[in-house]
Amino acid sequence: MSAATTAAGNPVAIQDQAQQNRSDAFAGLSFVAPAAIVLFVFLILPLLVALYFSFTNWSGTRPLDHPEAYEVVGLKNYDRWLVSGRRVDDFYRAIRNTLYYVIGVVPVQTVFALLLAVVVNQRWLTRKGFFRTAFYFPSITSSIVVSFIFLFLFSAGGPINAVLGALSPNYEPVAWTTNNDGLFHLLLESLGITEDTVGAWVETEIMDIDIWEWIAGPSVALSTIMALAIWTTTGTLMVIYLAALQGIPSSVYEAAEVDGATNWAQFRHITLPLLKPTTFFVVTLGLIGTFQVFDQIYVLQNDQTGRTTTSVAYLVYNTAFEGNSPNLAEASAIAIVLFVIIFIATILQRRFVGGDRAEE
Amino acid sequence: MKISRTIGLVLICAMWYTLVGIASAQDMVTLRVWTGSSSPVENEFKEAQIAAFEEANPGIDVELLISPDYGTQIRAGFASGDYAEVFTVGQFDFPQWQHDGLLAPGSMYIEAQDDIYQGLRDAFTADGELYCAAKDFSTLALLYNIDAFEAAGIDAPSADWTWNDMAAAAAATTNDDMVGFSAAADKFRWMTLFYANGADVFDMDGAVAFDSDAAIEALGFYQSFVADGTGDLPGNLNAGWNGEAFGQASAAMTIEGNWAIGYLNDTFPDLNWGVAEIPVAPNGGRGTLTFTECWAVSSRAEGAVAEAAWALVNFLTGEGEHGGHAVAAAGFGVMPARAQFADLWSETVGEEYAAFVTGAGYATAPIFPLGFGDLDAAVNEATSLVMTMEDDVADALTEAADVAREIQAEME
Amino acid sequence: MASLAFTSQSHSMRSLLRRVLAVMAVGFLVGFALIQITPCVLTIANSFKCDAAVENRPMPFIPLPETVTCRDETGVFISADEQVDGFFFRPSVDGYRKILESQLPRWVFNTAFLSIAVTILRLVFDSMAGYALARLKFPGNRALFFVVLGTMMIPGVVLLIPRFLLLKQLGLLNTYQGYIIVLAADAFGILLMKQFFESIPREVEEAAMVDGANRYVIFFRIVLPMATPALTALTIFGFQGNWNNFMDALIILGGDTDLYNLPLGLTVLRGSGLDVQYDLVLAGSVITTLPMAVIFFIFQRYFVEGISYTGLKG
Repeated sequence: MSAATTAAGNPVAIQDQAQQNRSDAFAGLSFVAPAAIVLFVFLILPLLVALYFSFTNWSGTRPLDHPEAYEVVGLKNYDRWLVSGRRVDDFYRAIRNTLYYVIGVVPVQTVFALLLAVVVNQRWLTRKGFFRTAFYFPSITSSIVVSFIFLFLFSAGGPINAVLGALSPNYEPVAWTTNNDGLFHLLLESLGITEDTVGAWVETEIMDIDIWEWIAGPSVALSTIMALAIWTTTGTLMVIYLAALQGIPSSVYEAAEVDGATNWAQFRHITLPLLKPTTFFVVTLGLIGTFQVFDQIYVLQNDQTGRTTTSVAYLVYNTAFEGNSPNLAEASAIAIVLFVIIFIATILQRRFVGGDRAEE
Repeated sequence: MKISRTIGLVLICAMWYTLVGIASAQDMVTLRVWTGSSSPVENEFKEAQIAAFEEANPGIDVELLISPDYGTQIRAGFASGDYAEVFTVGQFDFPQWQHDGLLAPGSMYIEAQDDIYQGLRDAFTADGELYCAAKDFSTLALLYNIDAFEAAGIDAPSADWTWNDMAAAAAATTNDDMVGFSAAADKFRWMTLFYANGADVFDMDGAVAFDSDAAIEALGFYQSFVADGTGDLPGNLNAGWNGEAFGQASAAMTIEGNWAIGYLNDTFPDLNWGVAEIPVAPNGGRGTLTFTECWAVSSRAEGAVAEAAWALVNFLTGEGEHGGHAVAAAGFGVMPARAQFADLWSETVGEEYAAFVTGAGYATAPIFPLGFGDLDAAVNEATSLVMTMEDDVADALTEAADVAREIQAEME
Repeated sequence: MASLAFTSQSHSMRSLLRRVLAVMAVGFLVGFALIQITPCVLTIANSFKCDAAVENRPMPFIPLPETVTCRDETGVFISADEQVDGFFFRPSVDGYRKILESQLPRWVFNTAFLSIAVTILRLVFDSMAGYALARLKFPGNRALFFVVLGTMMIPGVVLLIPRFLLLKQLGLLNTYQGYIIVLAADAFGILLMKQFFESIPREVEEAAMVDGANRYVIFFRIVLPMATPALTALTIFGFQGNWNNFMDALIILGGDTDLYNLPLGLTVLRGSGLDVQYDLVLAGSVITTLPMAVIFFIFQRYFVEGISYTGLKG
C-alpha cells in the first residue's frame, strides 16, 4: 500500500508503476517459489493425504498395495469422535484440557518472554551473553531430564512441598503430579460452593461432559505440566523478542532520554508499542503451539491423571499408534478437527486482538 | 610398461570381482531383520545372535536394523508394502498385524512348538494357526522387601500365601516411612488377581464377564490397600512407577515384572529383596500376566527367502544353542520362551528369582480381541477411577463391561 | 558481579537509591539465571554417577577427586555407600565411555552436517519467502500467508506415514539430500522473517529503487544485511531444531544406521523400557545439549541494538 502511495508522488514512478507491479509480482513469485515448493510437497501434500485418510477406515498398518487396504467410510470417523461414538466424552475432555492449557500458558509465557528479553537487552547489563544463555537453557535441556527434575521437585516429599511447608505451618503436602482436582473447583470449594450446593443445573451435559466438569479449571496435575511448559518455552520466545528489540533504532530512546523519560515510561511508550506486531506474532505462535501440546503431556502424564491431562494432540498420537486397535484414519480425523479449531482460533485472534491492524 | 601393467592388473581384478559378485549374488539371500531397541545388553545379544547365524549360514546375508522407534518405523514400512522379511511382534500388536495379513503362518515351520509355554503360544495364535515364535517373555510376581519383613517380625511369603496373608503383611509392614504395598493404577497389575480369582473378560459362552463377582473381588482387594492406608499409588510415594517406590523402600511389597531385576540391582544395590508368586486367590486359583514378543516372517517372503527367514526364526528362538538356550544363559531380565530352559535361566539369574519363571506355567497374556480398543480405554479409566477412590469398584467394572457388551452387539 | 557498570554518575541520594535498586535487580537476575541453569548443572553432575548414586537422596552434587567404575570385577553394580558420602560423590565416566565406544563420531558428523546444511538453506529460502510475503505484491500473497500459517496447525504424527510414502516414491528415503530437502524451508522461519521485514522502514528500499536497483539487488544487498538479528534467531532455531530432530530423522533416515543423527543413535543406545540406564541417558543429553548452548552463546552476540539501521541514518 504505502509503497504505491509514496511512489505516486514521484512523477517518474507513475509511468513505471504498472511495470513495477509486474516485476514485483514476478520477483515475489520467484522469491517464494523454493520455500513454497518444499512446503507444498512435504507438508501440504501429506496433509491432504491425511485428510483423505480421515474419510477411510485404514488401520495404518495394512499395506496400501493390498487389494482391500481400506474402504472410504465418509464422515464415520468424525461422527465417532465428535457426535455419537463411545469416546466422545474423551474427545471433549481433551478439548477442555487443551483449552485450559492454552489459556493458561500463552499469556504467561508471552509476558515472561518479553520481560526477559527487555532485561537481557539493557545497555547497563554486562555479561549479557551469560544471562541470555542462562535464560535460554531451559529451551535446550533435554525433555527427559526436565521431566525427571520436575517430577522430583513436585513429588509429594519434594523441595516444593518442603519449602511451602516451611513457610506455612498448616500446609498440607500437595500431590502436584497426581492430583486431579480442578483449580476452579478448589477455589469454589474454598468459598463453600460444591457440586451439591450449587444446584442441579451443573449436571446438565454439554457435549457429553456435564457443566460442573467443564468449569473445573485445569487440574493441579495439568497446572504443574503448564508450569513446566512455560518454563521451557519462555527462552525460545525470548529470542524472538530479542531479535525484534534490535529493530528499534537507539535514536528513538536517545530522543526520549533527552526529554527526560524514565525507564518505565520508555518501556511503556516506546518499547511496548513498537513490539506490538512481535507480540502479536508470539501470541499466534503460542496459540498454534499450545493447542498441539503433546511432548510435555506424554512425558509427565501418569496412570492417575489421564482424564485431566490428556490433550487433543495426545489423543491423536494415542489413537494412531498405541493401544489395542491403533487406527490412523481416526487419528487423522481428530487431527483435522484440531487443525480447524486452531485455524478458527488464529483467525479470531487476528481479528479481535487487533493484530491485522497493527500489521498493515 | 609399468602403467599398462597396472591398468591390466586393475582390469583383471575388476573382472574377477565382478564374476565373484555375480556368482555370489545368485546364491546369496538377503534378509532384512527389524526390531526395536530394548536394553543395551539385549541389543548386543541380538547382534551376536545374528552374527552367529551369518557364520553358520554363509549363503544368507542378514541386515539387522535395531530401530530407535520401532512402532513408527515398521508401520511406515507396512504402509508402503516394503518391510523386513523377519521382524519382532509384540503381543498387543499381534491381532491387528495378523488381521492385516502381514505375517506368514508358522505352524508348519516353527520347531518343537509344544515346548513353548502355552500362554505364549496362545498370544500368537489366530484361528488355530500359530504365526509367530515367541522369543522370550516376562511375568509379574510379588516383590517383597526382606528387611522390612524382618523388621515387622513376619515370615517371607511362602508358595501357598493367600490374599489374606498379603493384606496382613501389608498392615504389619506399614509404618511412618513405608507403606505395605505399592499399587500402581495400571490394569496390568491388578489383573494378575483378576485371572488368579478365575475371572476373565468373556465367560465360557463368549458373553462379557468383565464385571463378574470374581472380577469385582479382585479389583476390590487391590484397591483395599489404598483404601485402608496399607498401600498407596507410586505417584504418592515420590516415585514414577512401582519399581522405583519399591527400590526406594517406600513400599514393602509390589507387583512387578522380571524387568525390575536389573533395575533394582543396578540402581538400588543395597536393597535386600525377594520374589514370590502372586498370592493364591480365595478360590485357590493362581494367575499372573505375561508379556511377550516373537519373531515373525513377512507374508511377502517367498521361496528361498521365506525358507531362509524361517531358518533364522528357528535359529533365534529354537532349541539350538543360539535360541532359547542363549536367552537363558545370557541372564538378563527376560526369560526364555521354552520350558526346557527355565532351570538354566534360574541358575544364571539366581534361584531367588525363580518365582517369575514358575508363574509362566499359569500365566495369561492379557490381550483383548481385535476391535475392542474402546474396552482398553474403558478399563484404563475404570482402573484410574477406582485407584484414586473416585468410583466404586462394581460400578466402574460394570461401566467397562458395558462398553465391551456394546462392541460385541455391534459386531454381530 | 563487580563488573557491572552503571550509567549514573551523580552522587546524590537519588543516585544511591538507584544504585541499591540496581544491585537488587542484578541480584535477582543472577538468582534467576542460576535457577535456569540448575537442571543442566544437575544433569552434568548426574551424568558422572552410577545409577545407584543418581537415585540416592539427598542428591549428592559435589564430585570427589577419586573416580569409580560402576560394576565390580564380577559385573555386579557397586552399592551407593561406595559412591556417595553426604553431598559428595565419587564420579564415574562409565556413561561417557559407553557412548564413546559407540558410533558417536559418525552421529555427531551426521547431525552437524545436516543441521548446518538445513540451517543455511533456511536462511536463504525462509528470508526470501518472508520478504516476498512482507513486501512484494504478487497474486495469492495473502492466501499463501494463511497456507504457510496453516501448515503449522496439524499434529505432525498424522503426517509421518503420508510423508514416508511420498519420500519413498521420490527415492529420497535414507539419503542426506532427502533430509535436507524436506527441511530446507519451514513455516516458522518464513513467518519470523516476514515479521521482521515488515518492521523495516520502506524508505530504504524506495531510495534504492529510485536509483534503479531491482528487487533482487535490493533484497540481497540492502535488506538482508539489515536483518542480522532475525537471521541470528533463525540460525539458532534452525540449528537447535535439527540438532534435536528425532521424528523427521527417523522417517527419512531411519532405514540406514550409517545416516543416524545423535537423537536416533543415542535412543538406540540407551534402549527403552523401565530398566532406565541413567548414566547413558544423562551423558547422552549432556552431549546433545552443550553444543546447542555453545551455538547460542556464539550467535547471541549478534543481538546488538542498532546494528540493523546503521545504513539508514541521514
